[in-house]
Amino acid sequence: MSTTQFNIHADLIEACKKGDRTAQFRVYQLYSRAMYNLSVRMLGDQATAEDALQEAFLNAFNNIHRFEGRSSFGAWLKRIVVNKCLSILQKRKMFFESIDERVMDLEEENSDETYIWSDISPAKVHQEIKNLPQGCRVIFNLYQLEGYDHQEIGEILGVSVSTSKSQYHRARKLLRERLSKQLETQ
Amino acid sequence: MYQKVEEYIRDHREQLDVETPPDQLWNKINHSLEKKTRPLWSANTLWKIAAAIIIITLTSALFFNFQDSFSNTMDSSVADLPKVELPASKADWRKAEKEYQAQINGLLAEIQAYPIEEDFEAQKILIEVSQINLQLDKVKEKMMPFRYDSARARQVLSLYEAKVQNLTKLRDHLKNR
Repeated sequence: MSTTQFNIHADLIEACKKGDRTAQFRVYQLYSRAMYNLSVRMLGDQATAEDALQEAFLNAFNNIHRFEGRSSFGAWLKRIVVNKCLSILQKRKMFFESIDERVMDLEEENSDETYIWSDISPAKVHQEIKNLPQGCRVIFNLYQLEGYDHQEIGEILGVSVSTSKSQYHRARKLLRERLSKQLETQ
Repeated sequence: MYQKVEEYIRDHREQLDVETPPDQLWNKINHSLEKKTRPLWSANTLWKIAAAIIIITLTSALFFNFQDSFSNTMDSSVADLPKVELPASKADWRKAEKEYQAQINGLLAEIQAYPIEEDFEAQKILIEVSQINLQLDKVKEKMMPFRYDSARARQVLSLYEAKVQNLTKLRDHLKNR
């Protein structure tokens, strides 16, 4: 894939490399919302997400000369944001418990999810992802929303592939249960 | 109709970004970026300091040359310097000199962290320090290489002591501003 295809904001990035504050603000406007939501979902609260986003953007602008255009700028920035969130979470000392995958698979097969996903709003799903327990929330976000595979997650978080999978299933199950409850009370 | 969470998220990925970052977040980022790019000492201030140092250097050089042409005595300009104890041997004197230099380097490192833009008190002290530097060079130049010239050795340490005192004063002034 060509570099130009990746970087639709090439001029803006070049201006940022020269320290152009207007270009930096434009980049912030373009990416802050998506990156903020990513941080909120990863960290679970807005105040910490704001700190993470501030540090991530500063880090990105101060190191933008290192961006070579091998991926899209958005993907490069997202990696910085994810790394920032992970370093914050590392300080909180996450614990990941491995759950028997066979049990999870059985539960998956027996469940009828159709009614939940047809009637639920994205805002509610976002809220419930935020409310998931920390360990499984991080894995769910990395796998389902940010496109990491279990092998990569295992390497990033220092856990086995099977732990990553089982925590993902746990998050998925909790999400389904909590959203079902909400639908029932509506 | 969505069967699974994976399908739902695939089709609603953008809509899941429901929260908006607070308005003041860019201000914080902008402020931090400005702090990083703003030099501690502006070019204007640096020019002023450089000009002051050049003028003082030339004036002092003229003054010392004038003095030398009339007498071979010690520098009378160091008469007001702080009193210091003279080490017994040249080796001890070298050790004392090194200690002063380390102390001075430490103070300079601390001072560099503060901007002195438009701070005339700080510039005044810096000028005093540059005068001491000139005197130090002059006295050291006159020291005998193979003999422990006690009078000049004492002068050198006195000048170092004066320099330390001035830099400490400058550091404290910048800290308490």
